[in-house]
Amino acid sequence: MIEALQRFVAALRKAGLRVSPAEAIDAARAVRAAGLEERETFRLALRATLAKTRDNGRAFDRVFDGFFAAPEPPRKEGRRGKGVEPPAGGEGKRSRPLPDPEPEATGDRGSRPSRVAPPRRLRPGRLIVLRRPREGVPAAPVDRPWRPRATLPRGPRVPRQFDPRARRAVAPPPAAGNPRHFDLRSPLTGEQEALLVREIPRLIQEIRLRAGRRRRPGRAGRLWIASMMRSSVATGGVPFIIPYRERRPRRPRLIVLADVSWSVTRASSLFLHLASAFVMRPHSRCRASIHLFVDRCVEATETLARWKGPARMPLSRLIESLPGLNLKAPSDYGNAFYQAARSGEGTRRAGPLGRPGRDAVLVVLGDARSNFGDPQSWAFEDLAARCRRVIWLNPEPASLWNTGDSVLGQYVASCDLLCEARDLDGIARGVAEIVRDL
Amino acid sequence: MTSTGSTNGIPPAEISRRFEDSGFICSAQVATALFLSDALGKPLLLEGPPGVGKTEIAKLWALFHGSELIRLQCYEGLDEARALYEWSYGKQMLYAQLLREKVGDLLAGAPDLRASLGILKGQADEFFSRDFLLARPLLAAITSDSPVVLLIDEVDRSDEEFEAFLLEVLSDYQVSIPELGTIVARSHPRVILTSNDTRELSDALRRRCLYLYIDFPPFEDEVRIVTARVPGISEDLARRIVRFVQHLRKSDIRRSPGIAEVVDWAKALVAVGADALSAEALRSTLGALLKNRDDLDRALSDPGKYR
Repeated sequence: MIEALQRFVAALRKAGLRVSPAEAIDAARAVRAAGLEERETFRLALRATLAKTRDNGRAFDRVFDGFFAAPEPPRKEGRRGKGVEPPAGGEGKRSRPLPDPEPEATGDRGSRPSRVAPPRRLRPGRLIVLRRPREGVPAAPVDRPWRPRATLPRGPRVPRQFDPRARRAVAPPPAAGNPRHFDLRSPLTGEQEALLVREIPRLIQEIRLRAGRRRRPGRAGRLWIASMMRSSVATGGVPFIIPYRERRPRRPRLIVLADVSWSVTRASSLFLHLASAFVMRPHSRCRASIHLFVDRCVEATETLARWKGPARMPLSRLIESLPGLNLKAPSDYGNAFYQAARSGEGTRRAGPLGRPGRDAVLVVLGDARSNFGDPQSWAFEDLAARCRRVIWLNPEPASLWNTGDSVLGQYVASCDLLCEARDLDGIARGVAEIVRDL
Repeated sequence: MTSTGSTNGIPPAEISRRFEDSGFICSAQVATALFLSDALGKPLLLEGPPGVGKTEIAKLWALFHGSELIRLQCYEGLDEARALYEWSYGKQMLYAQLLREKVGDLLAGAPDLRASLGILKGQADEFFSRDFLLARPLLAAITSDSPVVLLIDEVDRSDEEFEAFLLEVLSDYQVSIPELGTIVARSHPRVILTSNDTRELSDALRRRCLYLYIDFPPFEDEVRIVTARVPGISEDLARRIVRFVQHLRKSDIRRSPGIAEVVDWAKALVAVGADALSAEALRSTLGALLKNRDDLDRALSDPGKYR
């Protein structure tokens, strides 16, 4: 039996389940405890010890059915296995001895387990190109010589070619079943769209927990000596209560410039959906201003703040309803950045784009495809110079960056971080970076 | 339900039967997982949508064994001090004040500072003994003389840091307190973790547990639950209710109703004397089932879609 179990564990591993030796031992103990008389109990015992997620459970069932063939229903006449006696005592249909594993389906050559679709698994990190490596930020997988922004030449820029190694660093084509890895640029079915939307709350929870943990410096802030001295006077100088002083929370400013043209509409919708969960909440510490653009910039902060979620109104319809936004126009990044950089200029009360402030984080989502128009990179540089950090999320695969009419190379020198956001996982990584900065 | 002390030797079918005696329809999966958890001495991780009875299983499991249920409700920001132990600072200070004179007497014979420190060094440990330790759920479960059922509820709400801390507890049933050393469990608690699957738990935590995903029950099982939990309900009404709810769950509503809410709704319908899901009965009772305005509007605007 142990040998059969070993082969079964090997088949599970081949099907993509990560079964540790400790779990295999647990499985053997579970089988000994549960017994082999009932196939269903045997299956449940193995399942509880070897399949530790819901997806793994589904894959387990498929492998199990292929590996331990179900007994044939009892026939009164014409039984093939003449030597096999029916179970004694009239135990019913469920009480049959467990059949031996099928030899042709067991070893590495086993055809049935190999046909099993691999379960959902986390894939290695996607490409995040860092211009200015920071402490705590994962190192860039490319060996690109990033220079500090201050030392960059201010003259007209020549579009750069990306390091070819960066292309190789991009993760392999996405798996079929995991909504986090659906390619957002390819057409999706209604079911896949629903899966994407369903995945968003989980992502929000994951990012929120990660950010919450990082922000918590101590249990109750710093020791407040002065208050402790004062309060201990009443108790003869004995500090029965230790007061702590909480840090005054920062109120950083987040400026989002999101391209909502048709080529990136799905990515921008998902990004806004995710980002709004963090920055548009009533008690959010962050002061956010969100601007959408195709050929010109339109502020959407108030509209998004009033948005009640996709159940009331789809985000796409909300974007369509924004006055001044022409979704059918060709993208013009140069004009959009020019507008943003000039926002509030000459007026006494400049908007968030006019005077972002030293705490501001600028986030751009777009493919930088400007239809061969003037990229006006000086405007983006001007805008970036007024912000503490610049993060660019590009929904295109890194291999397409700076090809054709993409002018990403013109802007990249002003960015601190570039994130390949071609799927939900990539967008979530970008949002996690933003949340970490706030 | 009477206590048996241990399930060793009690087959899953028996566990299932005993749970059903308490009004909980226990599937073979649940019974087998509980049986294995006991037989292997491993924690059981129950995952599934809210309202399928995960917490209820832990409560009944404690009742089954006649043991105490210690519950640790997880939330964002939960740390060791709230989960494991804390020194009772107030008590330490109070004792220090009350014993001030005694300490003075002790130090009276000391000729110099070094000798005073030597005397104090021997006494100071008394203030970090178990008398001044506030045991939180995890420590209480480990130091209990009799095996308890430890329910770590909604572990997905806690952060990864806390998950990592749980690993030591769940693998070795021991915790380390710097002032006291390692405390090993006197009796292994029966540990049940629940998760609503709002985020991925770490592989390390999953590996240390037996795993069971509990989904909403199939139609016939849910009808059995409703008829068992709602006295005086007709079989026909129970079937109508469950059919309505199962259609609702498949539709695009914001929050799927759990089993407890279905039972509440069934009780509400029985209380108003409804024998069918008329529009009036729905209007007056659907608040017991759906707790969101959008969902309510959607269900009431076209109830025929769900019948």
